[in-house]
Amino acid sequence: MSGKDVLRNPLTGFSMLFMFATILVIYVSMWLSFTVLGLTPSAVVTSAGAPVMDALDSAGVALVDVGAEGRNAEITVHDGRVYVLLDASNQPAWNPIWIGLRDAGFAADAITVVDSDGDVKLDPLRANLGVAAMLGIASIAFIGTTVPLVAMRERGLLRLFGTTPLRRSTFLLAQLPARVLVAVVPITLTVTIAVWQRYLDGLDVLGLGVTFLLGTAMLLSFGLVFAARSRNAEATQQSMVMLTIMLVFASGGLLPASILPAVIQIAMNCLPTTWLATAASATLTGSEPFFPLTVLWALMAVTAACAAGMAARLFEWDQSEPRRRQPTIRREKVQAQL
Amino acid sequence: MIDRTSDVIVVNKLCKVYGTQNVLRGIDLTLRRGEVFGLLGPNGAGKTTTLETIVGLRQPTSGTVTVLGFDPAKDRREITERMAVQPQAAALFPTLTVWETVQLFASFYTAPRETADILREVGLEQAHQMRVKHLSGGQERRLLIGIALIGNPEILVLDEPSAGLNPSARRKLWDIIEGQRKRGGTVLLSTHHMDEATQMCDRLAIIVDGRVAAEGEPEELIRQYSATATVTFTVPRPVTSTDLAELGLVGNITTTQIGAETHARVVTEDPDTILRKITFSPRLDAHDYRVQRGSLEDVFLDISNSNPSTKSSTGRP
Repeated sequence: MSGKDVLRNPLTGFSMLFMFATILVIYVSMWLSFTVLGLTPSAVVTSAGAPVMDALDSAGVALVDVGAEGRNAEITVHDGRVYVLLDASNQPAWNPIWIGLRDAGFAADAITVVDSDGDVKLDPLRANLGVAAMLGIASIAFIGTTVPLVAMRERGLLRLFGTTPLRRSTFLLAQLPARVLVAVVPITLTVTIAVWQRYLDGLDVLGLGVTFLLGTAMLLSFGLVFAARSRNAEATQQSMVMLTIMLVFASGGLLPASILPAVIQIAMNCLPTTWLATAASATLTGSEPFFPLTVLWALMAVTAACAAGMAARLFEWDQSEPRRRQPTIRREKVQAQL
Repeated sequence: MIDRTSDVIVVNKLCKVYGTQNVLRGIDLTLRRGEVFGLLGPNGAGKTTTLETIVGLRQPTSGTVTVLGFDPAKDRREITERMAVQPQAAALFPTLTVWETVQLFASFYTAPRETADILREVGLEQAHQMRVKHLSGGQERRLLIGIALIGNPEILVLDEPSAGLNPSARRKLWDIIEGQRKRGGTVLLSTHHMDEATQMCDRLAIIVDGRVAAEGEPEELIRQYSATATVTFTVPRPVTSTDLAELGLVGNITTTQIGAETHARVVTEDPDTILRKITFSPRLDAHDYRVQRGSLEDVFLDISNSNPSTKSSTGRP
């Protein structure tokens, strides 16, 4: 269908991936500021074997003795868990400690990092990677699918299609391959970051595949629903951009859900985009989802099927004709006038 | 042999209301197989709405439309394989080439014509590798017509196909319409070009204010609506209108003296009698006779400018 047109037009690809790239740059900048840039970690390590020491050393952690001058971190291994205490007044870059411990074989959820003030240290990139992946797919679905379809209707192309034997369902399905191809970009990038930063406890290809397949299907179906009737491309573009930004907020991408009131948390967790962000986060970074992964998958599958059905039912080639509210009365009036 | 007696499109008392505005007020039309039928009318008269209702893009508020025995608003699948539309304007995919665009549309039909054949017919074979965004306005319009032809339709609906085309491109368009007619296809076209309507259309309807104000063959309409003709001739000596009236010439007579000659002009409803009287009047010795009948443009202007409420309900004289 318009796949060639989508792939040949660099501006289309740019508009689809712009928001994903922007938010990824924000998260990477935060990650650099909070975990990478800073003093080289000089850590005192207790109760750890030689392999752990070697891994930390390889990751760039300076291993020092207790009482050594300039030490800014303490790493304690206990019962298979690791506690990292950072000097709050002299904050070191703790990403090398994370990398070293992950290379030494500690599970992601077995590592706790706090500073001497008692603040738990979070990796902002790890915490938001699922949201970034969701945003990448959402912007392809809403900005890269809804807006071009509405523009096609506004320019009369859908009206022309409406005069051919092309079936609406075929047309809608034909929109998907090119978009799925573009969706591979944010998915691949987030998976690459997750692997590079050792967020994953082993690459769960099946889990990732199911999560992103269902998530992409669900959001693209929503994109088609939004494109079903509208004929004002400019208004649609503005609403879709706003919607995408709001979805980032609603998925906890701007403010962590944990600091918001319970009612808002529940409302946020009811959103399909939050299901995708949570499932993506769980499969990419091993974070604990608020529902079991299989439940999130089932919810996404049902929602995708409903949205796809709704899109096929509601989609109109041409929506220039105002809908009649009282056809019978008006018909009588017209006949009376004649 | 084309059966030109069967009706392929029947529009009966078609009304269309947008909000409080009555756009169509009881249109009646019948198109026969193999004919080229034109819709004329001033802007906003309801031509495009009529076409869009016929092709199923709009639903009638009241009245019926039957195309090849089907309701175009409901039986879309049956209609679209057999009827194609060239819309007034549609922006195609800008980065696709001409060839790819035609092939894309060909993929919608069960038995499409060859892409090369279509491009040859619309004169775009040289531009087949050009991207749509680089086509001129005329080329893009020809591509839209090519797209309409790809499914080898029985009925071809053209909405102002010659708008914005240069004279040579218009000739090419007329050839395409003629080709469709020769293949036995029916053509329904709306146009603002009177010469096109006169030359191409077997029959036409003039729509004014949502009604069919006149319908028939172009010559017949000219005869009916533009009854007067102008007879001009030259007399090789000075004569006056009174002299000519005395010879029995009935009509609005004017004379102009140019040197020794008189140029006379008679506007009459009976040019044949005037010609006979001039010819058989030995005293007159007239020469350079010329008879100019009314044109479709005169008919169109006459009907468009007259009050539509004075016409009958069907608009037919």
